[in-house]
Amino acid sequence: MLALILKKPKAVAGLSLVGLMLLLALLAPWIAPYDPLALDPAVSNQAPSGQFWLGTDFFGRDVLSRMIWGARPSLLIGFASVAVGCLIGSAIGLAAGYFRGWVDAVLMRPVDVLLSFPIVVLALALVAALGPSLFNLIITISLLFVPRFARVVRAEAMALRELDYIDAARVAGQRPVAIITRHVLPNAMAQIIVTCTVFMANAILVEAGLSFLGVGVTPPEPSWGNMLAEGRNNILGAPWLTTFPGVMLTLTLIGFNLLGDALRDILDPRLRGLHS
Amino acid sequence: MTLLSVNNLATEFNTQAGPRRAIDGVSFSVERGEVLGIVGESGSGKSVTALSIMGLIDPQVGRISGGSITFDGRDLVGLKLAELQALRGKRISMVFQEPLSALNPCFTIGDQIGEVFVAHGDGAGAATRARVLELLKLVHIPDPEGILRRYPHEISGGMRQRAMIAMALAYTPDLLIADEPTTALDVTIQAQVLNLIDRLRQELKLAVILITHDIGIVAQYTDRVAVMYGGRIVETGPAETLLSAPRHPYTIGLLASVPRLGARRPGERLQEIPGTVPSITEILPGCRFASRCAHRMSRCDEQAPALVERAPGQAAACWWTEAA
Repeated sequence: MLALILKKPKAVAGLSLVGLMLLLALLAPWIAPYDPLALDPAVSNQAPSGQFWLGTDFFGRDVLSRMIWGARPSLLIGFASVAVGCLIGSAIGLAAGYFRGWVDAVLMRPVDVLLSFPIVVLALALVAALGPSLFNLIITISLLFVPRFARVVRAEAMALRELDYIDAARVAGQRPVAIITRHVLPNAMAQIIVTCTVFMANAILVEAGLSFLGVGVTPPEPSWGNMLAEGRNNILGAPWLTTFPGVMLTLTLIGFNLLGDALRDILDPRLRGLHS
Repeated sequence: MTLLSVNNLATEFNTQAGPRRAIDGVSFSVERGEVLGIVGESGSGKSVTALSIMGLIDPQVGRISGGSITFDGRDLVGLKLAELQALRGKRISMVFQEPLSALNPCFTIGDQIGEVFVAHGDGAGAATRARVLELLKLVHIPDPEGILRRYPHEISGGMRQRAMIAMALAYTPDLLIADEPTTALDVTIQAQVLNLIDRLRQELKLAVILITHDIGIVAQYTDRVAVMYGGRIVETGPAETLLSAPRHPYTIGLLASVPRLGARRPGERLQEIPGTVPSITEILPGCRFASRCAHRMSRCDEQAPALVERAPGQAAACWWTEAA
């Protein structure tokens, strides 16, 4: 598996970008040169220099430090909400796709309703109702991804249930729950992993969007989204305020998308070796 | 006592024109230690019959709409899923046509066979492992310890089919349904697998339903035969007499279309049956074989013939046979 990843430039690039962001987030307290919350009016709105590599904002806070710390909420919310969304969504999708019939109808109707709302509108409504906090953000974004996971996994389960080895398992007297967990799930895993990677990019983007709109991570806690929002008013006078968090966000999304793309190629045997 | 008796079984599927019967009025029985062959072309209803017995008709697309399937005194039609699960794999087992697709690619052979024991509450401990090993020896797999740890794609087709059979025999079932078990295999492996099934039948007193489209296999490996056409049994009888003296034009045609070395003069064409099996949406009131039959009479289009005994134990459903 690792050998296969290392052979693909796309996979290596994606993995490096994602790994870099993870390292930044994990090591933030040690590698950030300044306290991301420390105000210093004396150095307000300074351009990048030897002292402040990426400049400072209106309050004199170091942009580099805030950017490094900002990786934390983005990745944490991304991972947590995709994990929760994947768990619940996959369970719904597996049950709906395997049993079909009324189980499918009962489970998928709410999913369709959730899917019919635009992401940002639904997210805004939920956060407004729950109140902005890290935990509520994770709940909200998870809820956005539950129906999306359910759809993808249901399609996979529907395809798998028609296969002979599922019939063979039924013929051997296995119970539906055992068939789903032991036969359908392992074979749907590749699809689920790829979907997780791609949705991770989406989740981070949604988090940034909500923070940008002021309902995500609340200032003064830094996040790429709220840094963009704060720098927006002075985008011409102090372009470093918006450029660097924007670049970080872009690189992270590219990283996850490349990784997802490469994993899809690697995990899908039909595409293996096709474009290495 | 008769182990399995299928009576007037009808299974229908949803089509655009409404529910249509894929099999209609199928009746047969199997005794312990006996091999019943079910022969027919693709679309004749052989597999639907097998799936109906196993209770595998997907309720989304079809259902058993009539008749009964009595197994050891109990009617399987309308049985609760939990009761059916207790029978499946333990008393009734099935071997599929394509062993590669019938084995889960995510599990080793050992784990996969062990699953059957887990499903019936026997856990996955050392005892189960020993039983799996024993099963692999029973089906004559060389190097059973090695095969245990292999994944399905790592072993040959013949080994896979043996593993499938081992899985089906986990609890020494009373009835084994083999749905074209050798169609996907090389001819040499074919004979090995069929001989294996035959030996197991004798040793374990299995009742076997052998579904095939190869009438040559029927001659060698079955005691009794049911020939299916268009969802009905058109002729049934002891393998020997049915093959040596077929009464139904379809059976006659099937036998004539088997290539035999030396039986043909150079340049002579192999016999074929013109046309194809009717689809379930285009079934007419009369005999279903009429449109392809050389002996078609006006009566054939009006009324479906019933199975009538022509020789001891041998019955055919044909107006022409009856008139002859």
